[in-house]
Amino acid sequence: MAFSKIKLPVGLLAMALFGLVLLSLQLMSSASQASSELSEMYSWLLVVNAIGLVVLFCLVVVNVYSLVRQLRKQEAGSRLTFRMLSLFVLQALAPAAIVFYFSMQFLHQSIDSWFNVEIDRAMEDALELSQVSLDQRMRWHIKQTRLVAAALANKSDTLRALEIANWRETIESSEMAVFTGSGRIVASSSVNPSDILPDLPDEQVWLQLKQNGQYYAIEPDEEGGIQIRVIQKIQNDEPRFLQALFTVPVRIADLADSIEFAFVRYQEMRFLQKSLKQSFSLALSLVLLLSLLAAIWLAFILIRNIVAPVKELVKGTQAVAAGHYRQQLPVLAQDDLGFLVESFNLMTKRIARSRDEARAASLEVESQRVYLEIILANLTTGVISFDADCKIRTANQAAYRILHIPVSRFIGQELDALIDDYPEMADLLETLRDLLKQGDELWERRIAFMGPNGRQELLCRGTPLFSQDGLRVGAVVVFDDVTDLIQAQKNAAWGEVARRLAHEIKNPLTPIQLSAERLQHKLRKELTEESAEILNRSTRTIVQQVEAMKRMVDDFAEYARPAKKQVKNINLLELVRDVMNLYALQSDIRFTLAAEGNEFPVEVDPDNIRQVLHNLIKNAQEAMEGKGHIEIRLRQVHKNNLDYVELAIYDEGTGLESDQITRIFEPYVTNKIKGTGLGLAIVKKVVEEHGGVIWVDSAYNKGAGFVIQLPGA
Amino acid sequence: MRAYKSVAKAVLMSVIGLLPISGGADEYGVRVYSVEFSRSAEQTWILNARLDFRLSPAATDAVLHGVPLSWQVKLRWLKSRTFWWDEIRAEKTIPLTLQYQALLNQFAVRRGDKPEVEMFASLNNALAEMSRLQVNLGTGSVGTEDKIAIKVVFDREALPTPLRPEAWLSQQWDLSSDWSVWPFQK
Repeated sequence: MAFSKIKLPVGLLAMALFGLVLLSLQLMSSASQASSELSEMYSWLLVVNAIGLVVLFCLVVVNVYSLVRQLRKQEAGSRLTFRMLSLFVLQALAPAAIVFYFSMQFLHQSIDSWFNVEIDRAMEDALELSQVSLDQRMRWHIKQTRLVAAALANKSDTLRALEIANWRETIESSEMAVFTGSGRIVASSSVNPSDILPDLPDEQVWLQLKQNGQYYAIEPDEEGGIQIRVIQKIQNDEPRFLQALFTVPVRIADLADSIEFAFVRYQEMRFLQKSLKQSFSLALSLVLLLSLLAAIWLAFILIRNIVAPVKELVKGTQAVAAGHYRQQLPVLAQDDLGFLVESFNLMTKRIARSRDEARAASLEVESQRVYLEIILANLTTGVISFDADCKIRTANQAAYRILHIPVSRFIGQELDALIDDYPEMADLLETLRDLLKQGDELWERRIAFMGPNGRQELLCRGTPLFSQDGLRVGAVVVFDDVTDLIQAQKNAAWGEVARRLAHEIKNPLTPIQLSAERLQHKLRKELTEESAEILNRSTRTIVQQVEAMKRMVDDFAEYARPAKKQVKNINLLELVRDVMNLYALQSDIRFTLAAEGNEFPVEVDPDNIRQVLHNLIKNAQEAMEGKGHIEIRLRQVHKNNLDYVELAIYDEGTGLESDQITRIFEPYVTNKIKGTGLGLAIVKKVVEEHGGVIWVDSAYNKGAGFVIQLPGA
Repeated sequence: MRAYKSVAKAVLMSVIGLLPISGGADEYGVRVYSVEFSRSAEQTWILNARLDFRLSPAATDAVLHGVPLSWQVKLRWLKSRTFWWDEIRAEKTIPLTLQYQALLNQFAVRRGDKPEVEMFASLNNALAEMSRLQVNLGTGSVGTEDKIAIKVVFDREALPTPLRPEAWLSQQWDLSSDWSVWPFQK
């Protein structure tokens, strides 16, 4: 409504201006008629129309400029306005130009047709006829006057005064007078008794009279008619002049006037022929230009009003395209465009409602997804999902924790990308890739690989994912690090074996040993020397083997013994030095200790850790056969937000076979001829009981290298 | 072709053709030659002025074709004032009309509002008669600050309607004089 309130005065103004232009043109058209009372206003009307023309032209120019700016800015509706306006201007201009052209042609031909040679000659002949007629009348009166002048010659002025009236009546003069050369009236007579003074000639007539002695002329009289003035010199001693005035009969005078008026009018029109054409052409041009400009200006206003709802619709559509679904447009009119706008408003309402519902659903789905992500992220089980092309779609935190690979950085990439970046994990990743591609079956596989902290074993389960249509859309792989679990199972099994060995085997060993010694003691005196010798050797062998078995059982007992730690806060460097010094004095082996610092505080059972050091150094000694170099390194490391003390022992012995590295810490795994194979198993057990880890430094290739990390105090 | 030329001429005239035509402005027009003052027997002041009417070819052509030409002689009796505009003591306008009488082959001059006309056999005679101006200014004391201003204005609006646009825009029709001021000498 506000829109129409603003636009209404503009429309009224346009209509008023248009009306004024039409009125002005009508007035000018009327004024161009010479007889019109408005002819006095012609020039002003011309100026008013010219001003109106300039005003309309400026309005049109302003509108065109505004439209061009809108076009350049590619504003909504500008192109439609331009098209409609161009169409309108073309449709208006073409017929107007044709009408103008033919009107001008017709006008000029019409004006030209007013004048031709025959009319010219007729008019001139008519005028000449009048002039000849009057001339003949004048000559007749001259002749009469001369006769009277001759009759009055050589007479006294008194006599002339007496006769003049008779002579006037005789020659039918309206007035007759005799005057001297100085203009003094001697005698006079008039048909009108009230005219006391005769109509005397003026200076010019006197001048001509004195030169020629006579004067005659046709001249207008005081009553608007025509009179003939004849002045003739009278022969006399003193100069006397006779003046006779003859009134041309009214009928003849009217006819002559009429002919003169027509002739003058015709001559004037003939003279104005060019001006008439220009004047009418000017009027017609003004009409055309004013009409065209007014029409174009009105077209601007009307087209703007028509395009306004379309413009609003375009803006609304752009707003909807930009995501503003709550856009509502004003309904300007109850027409087709209004219906369109109402439909648009209804559509945006529905879209907004659908958008809200979709957004709510999306939020719900998103919250569910976040919830699932939180669950996945907090799972200890690693989860990696793949799409149909075996590209990684998601991976949780546990996957990184287990694999030590930031899998989430490889979203959208295949496993080959991971293999390229992490070649040490190639075995695991290639196995996974092959399993993913092998088919649509569920699968479960235990896969071992060498991780950064040693051998790891994963229990992987793969599940293909299918859409509702039954199409395979990907797969999910779930895996757990079962290294510790398997190790614990192994440890538990070995512990049970050790306990049983201690219980079942150690108990009979003492009676066996005692019985063998008793046999030797009792039978040694009764047997021959040779037999006694055999007995003695056999008995000793039994005793030695029993002792060996006892040691073996003790080792097992040690391995199976539950941890009873006497934990103390010690400097590991001092403990290492103590142990190292002990061995350095006893053998030819050269020890070097490389410590990055002096303080390596750990909270451990010193006896247990001392045994760990003994076992490792003893192994190294045996591997180097008593000669060589053992290097011990100590340093602080920070890992997973925790401080560790790292102890590494490197020898120059025979080293470890690659297949042994994975199983070297299991019981009964050894490369020595002698030994129970429990030393490193016990070392690992002790280290793990203290919360540490031990692994073989596979990068060291001069011998064997073991790395132990213990939590710092 | 003829119509085309006419249209072109009309458009040209309506757009640019109406611009003033320059040249010849000094050859025609009206000039005030001299002004003299005398006193009548009734002790009224009589102004005798000598004017010079020079018609342009267009104006001569028009008058020979029966188009009447009209002027207005404007007279102002002024009294000079210091630091202010002059005081107008009296003001008079005398119309002059020149017209060709085809029937009598004479030129008629009508002076003032009088019904009678003066007839002249030639245009020069008529113009010569128009050049003599005698005006009764009335009575009144005359001071040294008094002066007379004369201006002869050609009345374009008295011309036939079709001729007016051209008359307003063409120098040929600039037949007016400027104001000329004459001291009131006794």
